[in-house]
Amino acid sequence: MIILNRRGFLKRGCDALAMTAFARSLGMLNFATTASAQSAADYKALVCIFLFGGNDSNNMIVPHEQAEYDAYAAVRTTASGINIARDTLLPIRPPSLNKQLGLHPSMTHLHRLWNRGQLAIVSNVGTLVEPMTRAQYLANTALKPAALFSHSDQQGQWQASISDGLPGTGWGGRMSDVTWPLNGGVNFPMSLSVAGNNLFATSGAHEMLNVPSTGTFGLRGFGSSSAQMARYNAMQTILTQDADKTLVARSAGTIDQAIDYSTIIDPIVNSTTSTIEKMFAKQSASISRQLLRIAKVIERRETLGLKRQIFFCSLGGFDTHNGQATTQATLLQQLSLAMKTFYDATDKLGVASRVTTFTLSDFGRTLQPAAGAGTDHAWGSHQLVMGGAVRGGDVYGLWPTLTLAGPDDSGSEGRWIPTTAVDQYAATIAQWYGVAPVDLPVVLPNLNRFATSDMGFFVIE
Amino acid sequence: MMERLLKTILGIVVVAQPIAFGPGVPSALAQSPPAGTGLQAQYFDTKNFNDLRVTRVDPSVDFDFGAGTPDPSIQGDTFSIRWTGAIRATATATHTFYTLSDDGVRLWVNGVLVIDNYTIHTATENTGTIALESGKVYAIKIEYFDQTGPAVVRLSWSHPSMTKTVVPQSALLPATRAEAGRLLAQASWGATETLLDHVQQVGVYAWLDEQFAAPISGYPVYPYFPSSAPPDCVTVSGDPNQQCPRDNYSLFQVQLRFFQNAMSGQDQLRQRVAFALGQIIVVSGNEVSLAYANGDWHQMLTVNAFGNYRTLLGEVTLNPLMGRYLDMVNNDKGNASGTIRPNENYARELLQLFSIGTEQLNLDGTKVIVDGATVPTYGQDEVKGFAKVFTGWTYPTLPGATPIRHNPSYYRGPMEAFPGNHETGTKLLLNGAVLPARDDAVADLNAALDNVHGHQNVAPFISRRLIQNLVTSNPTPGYVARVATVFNDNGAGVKGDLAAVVRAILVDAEARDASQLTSTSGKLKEPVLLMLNVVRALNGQTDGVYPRSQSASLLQNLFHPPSVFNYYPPDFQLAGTPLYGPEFAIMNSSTAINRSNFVNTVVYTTLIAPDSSVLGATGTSLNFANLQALAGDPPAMVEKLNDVMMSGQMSQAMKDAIVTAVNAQSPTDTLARARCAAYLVATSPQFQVQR
Repeated sequence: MIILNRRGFLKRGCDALAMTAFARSLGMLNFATTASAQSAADYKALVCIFLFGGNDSNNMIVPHEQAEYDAYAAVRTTASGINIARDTLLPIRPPSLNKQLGLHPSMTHLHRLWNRGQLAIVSNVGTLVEPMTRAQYLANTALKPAALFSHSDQQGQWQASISDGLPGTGWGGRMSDVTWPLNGGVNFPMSLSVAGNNLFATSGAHEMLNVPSTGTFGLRGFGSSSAQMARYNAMQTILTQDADKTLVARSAGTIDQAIDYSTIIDPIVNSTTSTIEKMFAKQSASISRQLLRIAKVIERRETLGLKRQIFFCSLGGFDTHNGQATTQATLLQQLSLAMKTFYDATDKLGVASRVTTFTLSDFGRTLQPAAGAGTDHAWGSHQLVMGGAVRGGDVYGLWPTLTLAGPDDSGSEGRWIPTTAVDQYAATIAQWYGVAPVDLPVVLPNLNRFATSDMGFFVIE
Repeated sequence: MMERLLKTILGIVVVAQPIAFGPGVPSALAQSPPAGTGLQAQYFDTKNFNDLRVTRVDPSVDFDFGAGTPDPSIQGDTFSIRWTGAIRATATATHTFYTLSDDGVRLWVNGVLVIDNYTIHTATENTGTIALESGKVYAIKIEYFDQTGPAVVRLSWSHPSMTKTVVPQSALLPATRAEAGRLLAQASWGATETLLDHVQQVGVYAWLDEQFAAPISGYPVYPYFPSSAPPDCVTVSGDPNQQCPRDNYSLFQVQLRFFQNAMSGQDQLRQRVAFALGQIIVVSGNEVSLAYANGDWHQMLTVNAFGNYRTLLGEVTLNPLMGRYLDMVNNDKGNASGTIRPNENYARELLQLFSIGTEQLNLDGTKVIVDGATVPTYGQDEVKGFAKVFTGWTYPTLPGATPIRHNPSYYRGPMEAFPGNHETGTKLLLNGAVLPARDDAVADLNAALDNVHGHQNVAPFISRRLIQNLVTSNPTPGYVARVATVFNDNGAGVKGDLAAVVRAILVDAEARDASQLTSTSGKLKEPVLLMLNVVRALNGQTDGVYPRSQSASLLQNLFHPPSVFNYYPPDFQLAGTPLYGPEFAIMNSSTAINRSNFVNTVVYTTLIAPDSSVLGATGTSLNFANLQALAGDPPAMVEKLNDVMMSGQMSQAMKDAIVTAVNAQSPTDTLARARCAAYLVATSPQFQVQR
């Protein structure tokens, strides 16, 4: 295993090319000597897919029983432009509900995973400060999340799992803090994003690594000449200066980290010997390219010597205020194909049960259509959890009553009050990942406000 | 800078290192400073430097106001004057300064208090001495007040080979080099040596006046094209006149024009403000990529950059590109069966992003707290009210066509109200206001925008965002309050005067006075600004093609923000701190590398080749001639970069590091030496963070 100490061995060299070669050789060496010592059983990874914009999960999972479908279609009429025809739905029958539902017709690939028991649905989950009923919501007798229905606020609360004041860190980042020792002293970042900075993986203690979703990742313009080495050294020196100026120091830290780790990660994500790359061969969608990069990092997990990794990727465009039918169909098709391919890649790598993929999204969307064949910002939504360790083929949490001004509606447009808190969803995932019970309140400080901390969607190991 | 001041006693010689304002910052320049024009004067109608009435450049300090007044706007007694700027020594010698004043006066040269007689007295001469070096430029400041009666103030100097004389205009400049550099960092697309000279000569106030009056570079009226390309709209490879899809169905030409304006337009500040406004009020080329539609949009922002915010909100609201982006266009009233209701998108984002935000604010931008909690500015009911207001509008009618309820898409001119498609019921607005039931889309829209513009949040909310974009990510509450006060009333009783707001932002002491810088001051340069700073500072030229092509990999794909939430949010927090750093949202390990690689490419490529498919293409190149001329004197070379790129703020340690690296380049390869130094400055976080 590589013990990466950024200011240690990497800084003694002045030649970036030589450094890269050095890192590569260490990686290869590592492959040869420690692969057996690090069995797949020691490894666990989480992959967070954030569906930016607020995915309309009311059309991702639709009632299929005739009476319930008719009620749905009476609100989402054919004329509204957002109705999904019953006979196009991909039927599923979750045992816990004992009734038929239908997946969005473009999710054929995930439908297969559902049927194989590797995909679960968590229904009507969302941001909560404390449990809340419609009566409490209308009477203002329970605390509401701040700035409901606002993209930025709700994205933040989903990623923080805190809805009464943003803490500046995410539940992924806090997970990385408490599970850091599981990586046995390896200083390589536990969190890796292929979708830019995000609150989810933000920790106050450990910076996430950002890797571009395509292309090379590395500093250009340095070779081994003494003149280049002098310039490289001066650059490194300058990065250590003016540390008393907060913004300068923060910028320097990011550049410094990027220079160091790009030499390690670039050969991995741009490897031409990956055994799973061809599985994504015909997929150009961004989410596929992102998940491919994540799969390639997982493929080379021994190189990094990490036993726990948290990945962040995203798919945007779900803010379907108008023209929802086409847009969402395209996005869900991309998502479905990419997730299924990613699952298959982890299966091929022998780590399908060591990698769990799950979705987050800003919020659900109004059941009632808005002018323009779209929907507006709502609240509770359904999310997907995928992996070999997932007790798939079932729905977890409470299925909402899809009635305008009904018991689950916060108003009269079909904005469901969540019956499961993000905190509970997160806690279930966190415990599988290895967060000890004693650390759960650190990761999810409001968890004790809710009844259960394990929704049961993982196979008991 | 106070900790750096030497303790002095009147009349004792103090040997000073030449510094500009700011701690330990040498202002010795490689090139000769611009010709003298005088000192920046600020005239106040109190004796305590409150109530600023007049700003002007005085050629010298030599006034006998008698019992009168310096200006009709100032009363004859109890006024004060502050002169600031730079003074150029003409000899290497101990200089003696003389003030003749009634009443109090104090004089700083190079940050040293040389004369201090800040008392009420009749006309009195005081002297002080300081050692200066010939040709070097030093910061100078004079503070003077008149209590009652005669008012006299005169500044003279002498040295062993020069008899006492009034300090002449030729030796005085209204701004130090560092002051000019910091202003240009905040208010232009980046300093150049020419602009630095100019700001030094005219001073901060006059330069701002010039900027407010500068001709608009803006965007041409791109030709109308239908939403679907006609069959003859084709590409002929390599022919710049046969690029119909690119030139009309993408933002390519608009983006190039943006960079060209930024490189050569006189209206630098207007462009910066328009760009800032476009990041508060956001549309994206991801939704509609028609050149003419986006050109019209950015022209609208540019024209309104120094206009009134209410006017801007009106034009934004009826702009069909915005209408399309946030679904106000063709937003129908609800139907009887209740299966369609007004679309909430524009209503919500207008309130959340373009005007007031989600929480009530104090004038200073801090959140109102009641019973330990923030107070929402609106709820779902208000969003529904505004959603109803914004019904009944459709695209402008195509010339020659007949208006219909849903006109086909057309983005030239304002949206039009179509009769009978407007929600007629009452509408709940902000602060409990309710619009009466009526079938009048125009009256409802105007009343609703007046309601928004009248909200107490608009001034602190918009002021803070503009400050963040131009000056600093973490303005003090006092700074926000001072600017918001001007937002609420420009002095003539008008709210929303953006020119007045921008002036207030840039003349504020928190922007201007480097001695107020703290460890957390400043802002990270956003990618577009960073790229332009580099090319402008290094005497470069660009047709915009290369920076345009790089903006996406830096997460600022020009005019294509990923959502209405812009490229980055204003409240992005630096992890582990309470500080905001909006631009840090798109600064990560991936983009950090790309920023450095951009610098590498422009610095180490002689000419990034012109794109033969672009009419009049010039490519992108830098010019290192003036740096190469200093290749034999690396410290001087670094000082020149410090001057034009870092407002003289570079630390000695950083200079030393760069000089060491330059000295490792071949002594005869002047270009390699220049490039090495330029690369190191341009990639440094000290340059990439503006302070």
